[in-house]
Amino acid sequence: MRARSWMKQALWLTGASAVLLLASSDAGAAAPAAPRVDTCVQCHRALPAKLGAPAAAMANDIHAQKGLSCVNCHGGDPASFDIKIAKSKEKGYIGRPKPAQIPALCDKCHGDLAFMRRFNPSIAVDQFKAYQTSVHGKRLAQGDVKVATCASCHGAHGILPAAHANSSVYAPSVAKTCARCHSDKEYMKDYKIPTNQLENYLQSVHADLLINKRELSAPSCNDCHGNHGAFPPAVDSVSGMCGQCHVNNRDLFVKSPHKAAFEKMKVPECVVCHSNHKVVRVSEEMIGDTRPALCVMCHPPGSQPLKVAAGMRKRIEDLKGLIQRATSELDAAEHRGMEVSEAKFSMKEARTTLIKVRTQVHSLALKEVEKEAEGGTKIAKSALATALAAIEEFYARRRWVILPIILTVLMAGLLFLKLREVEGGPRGRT
Amino acid sequence: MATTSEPKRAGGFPEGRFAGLAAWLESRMPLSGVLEFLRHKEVPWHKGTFLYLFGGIALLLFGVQVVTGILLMFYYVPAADQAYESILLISAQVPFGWLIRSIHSWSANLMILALFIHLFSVYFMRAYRPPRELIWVSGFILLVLSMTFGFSGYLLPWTKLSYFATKIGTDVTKVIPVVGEGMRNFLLGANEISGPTLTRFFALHVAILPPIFTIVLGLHLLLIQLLGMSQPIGGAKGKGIPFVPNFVLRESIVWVIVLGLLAVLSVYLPWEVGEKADPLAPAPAGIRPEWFFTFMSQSLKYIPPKVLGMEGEALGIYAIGAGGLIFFLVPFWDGWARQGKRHWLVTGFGAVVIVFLVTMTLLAYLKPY
Repeated sequence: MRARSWMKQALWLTGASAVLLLASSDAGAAAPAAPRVDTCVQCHRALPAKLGAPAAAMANDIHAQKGLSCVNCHGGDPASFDIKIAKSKEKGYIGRPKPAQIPALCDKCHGDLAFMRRFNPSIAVDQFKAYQTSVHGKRLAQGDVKVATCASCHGAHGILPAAHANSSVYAPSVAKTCARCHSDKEYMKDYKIPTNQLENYLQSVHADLLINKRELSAPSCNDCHGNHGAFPPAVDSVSGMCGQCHVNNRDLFVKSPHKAAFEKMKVPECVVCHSNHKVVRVSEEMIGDTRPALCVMCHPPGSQPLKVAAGMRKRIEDLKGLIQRATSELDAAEHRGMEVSEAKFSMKEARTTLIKVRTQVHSLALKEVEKEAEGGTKIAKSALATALAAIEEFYARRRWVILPIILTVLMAGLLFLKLREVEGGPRGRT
Repeated sequence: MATTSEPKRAGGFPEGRFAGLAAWLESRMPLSGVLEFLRHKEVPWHKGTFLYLFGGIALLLFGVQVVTGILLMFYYVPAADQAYESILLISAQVPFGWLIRSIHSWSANLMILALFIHLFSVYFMRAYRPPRELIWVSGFILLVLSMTFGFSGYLLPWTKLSYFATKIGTDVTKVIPVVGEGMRNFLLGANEISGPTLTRFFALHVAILPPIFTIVLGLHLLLIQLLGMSQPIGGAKGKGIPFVPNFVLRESIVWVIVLGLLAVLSVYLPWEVGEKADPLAPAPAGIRPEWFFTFMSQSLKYIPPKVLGMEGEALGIYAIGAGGLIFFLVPFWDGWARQGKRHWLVTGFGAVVIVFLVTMTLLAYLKPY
């Protein structure tokens, strides 16, 4: 076992040396460069569990891959096998950084544009500044060491790039990473904020897309709250958050009577109808003049806004029903072998129109909704007519097939009679 | 027995109103010998006589193929960016285009089926024995040509299914040593199936194969007329029915029924167009070649990747090729048939081939994965 352990160390050293040689050949891109002899790694890899884990994790670490090593964060002398020298304060050894030290420590490199652009010219170098504006950063400055620092989300050793599927900050993993603290009731009890965000988020359409369907453009916590500069969005800035993706909805909303009314009521815009973390898939049932429509929560029965809501609901349901019927009839026609691909293709546009109509609801303008729905209705009606005509033609063809059947029977019968006549009986042979 | 109401003249032409025209034609196109030959031609009569009808059915379906194929060519565009659209046009816009296309597809498949039945009936009746070896050889070539017709025609609509099935089919040529890769590239006109492949397959389908097929078919029919139909081993000689009109009438009845069946199938089960091919899309599930090639693709699935150090797929293809070659050469190794005997080895080999073809084809449809 010991021999194998030494073998492993030797191999690791050889590999590490090769990496360092390659890194050093890159015209000093990786300054401050990792030491050629790294006694930290050599010794810690041989140590058990907690003491050995950081060195083992470094194998996949993005920093190690870029040529950095323990000394770049912890200081000390990695060239010495003497523990007193290697971990001496004179050599700059700082030991395990305290939480309050971590953001500034990471910023030594990550805030240095000249240094960082050697590895990634497009990387942001203002994370520390953003962090200082965040709730986390502000509380840390006030001495609250329970708040998240860089290592809380990214890890300390074995840090992977955010785009790596195993990274704790890979988009589909972000919610669970935040929830490590934010869903922990005991940990969060002093902050007096809810701890059900993850539970709600996992029921949302956003989580379904991002986590289940791996649609990486769908949002997670950081897309609305920010990542390094994490903060709770203000009541009047919600539409700005949602509008990053839902541009048309935002544009229609800000021009609608709801914008001013919500500001006056100090209610959080989009969240009023769609919730915040639990943004479920929308349906026509959300609008109208009777429950479960959300409009009735604010507007009294029989009021003009509810009449408009009912009108919008009807337009959407009419178009949706028409699209469903046309799709179903087109499928039926296709199933019968009829060629209706052009009409089927046109239904894509009808469905897009339905989305536009649903979006138009945010304007609260019934006429605009009707105008938008008209285009989709026209397309769907045309497709439906094509489908019904195709199905009618299918049955017409079947009716007409009786003609070749009659002809076949007639001709075969006549030929058979001729054969019998020629053969003078059922089977005349020579 | 055959009776004719009009009196005959020497040379087989009728007397009467058309005598002058007949004489004029005879002097310029002396076919009276042919008519005389047909009048005396006989078809052996036994319990398997009905099997002779399948050759005629295949001939009829080939004729249907030619006619419907020419009609489809009026609208079909052999270009990768227009082929599928032209098929849509034929299926949706051209009057009776859907019917012509459906008849073309159905008759192609029924023709292959008729050819297989014809081939095996000839095999089991040992009709290939001397002096009819060349009839067998030309018939076998006709089957291979028909399958090539099917293979080349399958790609022409440029659908997703046909695209990927052809891709797999053409990859098979890679296993041929030395020339395989070059052959594939020649066939495709590029490294992958693309526009030039469609053009080449179209040329193969409508310009290269038809004349070759017609020549071989002409030879096949000529040899049958010259040598007559084979009497089964053990059958009583001289026991037969006149070709004209008795056999012709029977064949006509069958042709009428086949045409009726073709019309019903084409209307009740019209050939679907499918989705347009997208070379950049992943291969869809359930890709399968036309049914008459599924025995090959299915059997290759059961062969391990490596067999005795050889590529399993290559080995499978060689084995199928060797089996086909043995089958093709049966007139030359079946010495028993030459002596007028049926041997169990020949019957057994034929039965094994049928069981193999039927089992693999059924498995391809019932248990494709």
